[in-house]
Amino acid sequence: MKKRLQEAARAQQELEKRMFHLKALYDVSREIGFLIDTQAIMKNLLMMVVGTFGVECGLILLVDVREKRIAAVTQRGFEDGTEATLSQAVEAGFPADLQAMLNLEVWIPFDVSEHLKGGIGLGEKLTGDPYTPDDSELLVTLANQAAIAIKNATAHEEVVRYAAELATSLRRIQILESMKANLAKFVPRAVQALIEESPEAPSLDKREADLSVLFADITGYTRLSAQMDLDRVNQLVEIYFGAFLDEILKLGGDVNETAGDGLMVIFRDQDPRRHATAAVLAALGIQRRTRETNATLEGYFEPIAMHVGVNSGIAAVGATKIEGVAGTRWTYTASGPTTNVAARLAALGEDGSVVISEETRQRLGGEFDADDMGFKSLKNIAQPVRAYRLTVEQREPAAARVFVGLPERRRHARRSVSWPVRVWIGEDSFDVHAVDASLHGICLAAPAKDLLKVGASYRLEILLDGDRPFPCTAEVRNLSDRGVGMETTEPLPLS
Amino acid sequence: MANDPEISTRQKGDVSVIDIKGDVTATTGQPIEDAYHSVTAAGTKKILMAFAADCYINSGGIAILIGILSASKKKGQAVRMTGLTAHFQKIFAMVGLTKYTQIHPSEDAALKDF
Repeated sequence: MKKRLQEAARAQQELEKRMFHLKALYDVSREIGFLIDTQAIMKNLLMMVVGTFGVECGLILLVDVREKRIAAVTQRGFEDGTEATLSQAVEAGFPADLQAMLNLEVWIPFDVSEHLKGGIGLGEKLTGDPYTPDDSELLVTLANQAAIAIKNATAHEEVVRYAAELATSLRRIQILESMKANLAKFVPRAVQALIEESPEAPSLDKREADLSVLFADITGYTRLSAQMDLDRVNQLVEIYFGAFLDEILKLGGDVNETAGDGLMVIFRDQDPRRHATAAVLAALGIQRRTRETNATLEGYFEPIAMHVGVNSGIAAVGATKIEGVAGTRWTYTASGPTTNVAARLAALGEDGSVVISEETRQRLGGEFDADDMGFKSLKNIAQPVRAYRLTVEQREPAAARVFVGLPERRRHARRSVSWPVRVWIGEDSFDVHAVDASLHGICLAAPAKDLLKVGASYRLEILLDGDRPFPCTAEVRNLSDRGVGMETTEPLPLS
Repeated sequence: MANDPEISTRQKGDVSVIDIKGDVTATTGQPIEDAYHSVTAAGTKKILMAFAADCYINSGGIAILIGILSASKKKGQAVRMTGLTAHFQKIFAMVGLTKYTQIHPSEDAALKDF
């Protein structure tokens, strides 16, 4: 009877021990399963193991075997200097004989990954009892749990690191985009296109190209400057040149230089007739806008007059490098006789006319009925040049009809709208409002003009009255302070 | 949900009593260690750890207590415990804690044992 009671007591004790181990396993799962910090996982696990087995000394070690260094370690009950001993042992090669080195009763290894390996080491039990096979089995289970938890934590740490790197990269991109947007105000579009095409090695070498060059300057600018204070002169230039820019950009011109009272604009196209026509139309547009602006500003400013000249032909287009002791300055321009002649022709203009060369006139076809001014001797030009005069009243409407470079398709009635529109530029997008629309046309609010280019096509998503966006493709026809005029490929649902 | 421990210390003659309520686990055990270091710094050689009836102690908590008993042994301090349920008394015996401390059924009995 006594023997049976003793057996029952032992059985009861064993059952309680197993229940305690089971509870420890449950607690470990609960406490480390949701941790995402490797060191915290190891520290918590070690506490649970030390308490479960009743030991004074224990450690969990994680080693980067590729780099032969301790990735993480946590220990309880060992003397100071143990970690230095461990480091030396790991540098000599892992797995080292840590069991003997640290007087461990048991060492359970685990693998987190190919290069991240670890182990749980425990000293003598407080009870003095040896470790049983059941103890080893429980330790292996705990070690496996540790490996999984550390693997998850490592993956999480990687994700956090990648997210931080991504955030830094995005910030850099935002700064670069901001710099790009600001620099774009000072850089000709031709240069922007070349840099975007090949950012690391833009092809800026000078190459011969067929083009048309427009020169425009304010008549009597020196006299005006002397009469007005600088702020008013600057204001005047901004008002007029702002209006000119609308005309130039909608016809695909690239403002190459501005110098006080003057503009140099380059027009390029595969078809030599198209860029000549565009340049002449822009020149006529400048004269028309001058007259309109003069009328608008009557009473505020004295009316101004513009000299405008256009020439077409071959020019050397590319970068000119000016190198001095103090630094280097690059300019991108079209140089050569074609440009020089255009500048000299501008000086011949009077009474709001546009002066063009023989070469330009020939490219325009019969629709432009220009007045022959005869051969003119131009300063620093060896041979006399035959010049022609065009005026806004006689020429612009007819010219606009024949110009097919950027046709305006607003044949349909437009109406005011207030549609939210998402504009896609490659993988990026921005949101803006449409202010008016016709069957094949849409005008986006002015903020969009800084992001879009004349002649380029973009994907739009227009949020009409319903929830579903209306997708379409549209090409930018003109940019101005009033907004961005676009022609849509698909008819817009205006009903 | 962990029941955060409430730890306080008081003096009974030359015995420093550390009162412990709530859960004693690896994550909540720091205040108990702090209390031990506090009374040790005051020079006490006799410590009574008085557990409240609702105390829950898991393996991590036992590790905390092992650490305290191990340190007290090196410092020549005597540590007694009281207030533990029969279940935890068995667990403490199982992991060998009772080799380093005596567990008493009441505070008075523990105080008399120093």
